[in-house]
Amino acid sequence: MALAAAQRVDAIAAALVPTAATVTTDRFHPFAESELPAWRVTADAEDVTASGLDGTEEHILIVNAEGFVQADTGIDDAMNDLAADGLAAVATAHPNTYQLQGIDREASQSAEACTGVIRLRFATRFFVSPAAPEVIVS
Amino acid sequence: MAFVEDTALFLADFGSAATLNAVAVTAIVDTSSVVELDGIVTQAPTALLQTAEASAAAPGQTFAAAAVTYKVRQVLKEPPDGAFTRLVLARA
Repeated sequence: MALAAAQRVDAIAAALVPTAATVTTDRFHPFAESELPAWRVTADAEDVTASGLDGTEEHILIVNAEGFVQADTGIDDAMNDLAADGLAAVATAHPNTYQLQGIDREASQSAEACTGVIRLRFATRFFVSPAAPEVIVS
Repeated sequence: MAFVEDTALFLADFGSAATLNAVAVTAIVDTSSVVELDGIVTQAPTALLQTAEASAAAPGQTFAAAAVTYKVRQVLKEPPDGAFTRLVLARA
């Protein structure tokens, strides 16, 4: 078991595996060129509110899925293709579980080939009991 | 007496044989590892040539050195006088 938020992160990471060469939930993992395209999935902000008299908490978690690509030409196409594959994979594996909140893009051409990252920001909601933070009630 | 630089001498000492667009040249090939976008470790190879040997250099041409083939991505005149040209490379 893991903290409920980590379970939601892991679920996205698992769904993204078929879409890239590498998927990690390690926040500081640096990707070698041979590992691209790649996804890095991490938890961001998590808001918690009391939702019931029994103490059940409602959690709204932001999960960032960052897709890294490298391409001599067509870096935007590479980023968009990876994002499209990723969005479809997450929606298919976990319908109605992750709400896309936004997409950011960043690219660089300072090295031998253009590199880019496309960041998918998901929100997911779940309920847990304070006494059992590793168990998702619903 | 005016100072006259001999760029060919510089490259003769520090350069190595290479080809640019299938033409023999002498170049110093450098590379370094760089971290981009807070997540990708990649390489930044460049080649330094006399501008006289690289006057027709252009993006998309092929550069080869030490049995490695590259594609030219950028052609940059080096300061202060452009006597040298730096080619920004990508491994082909």
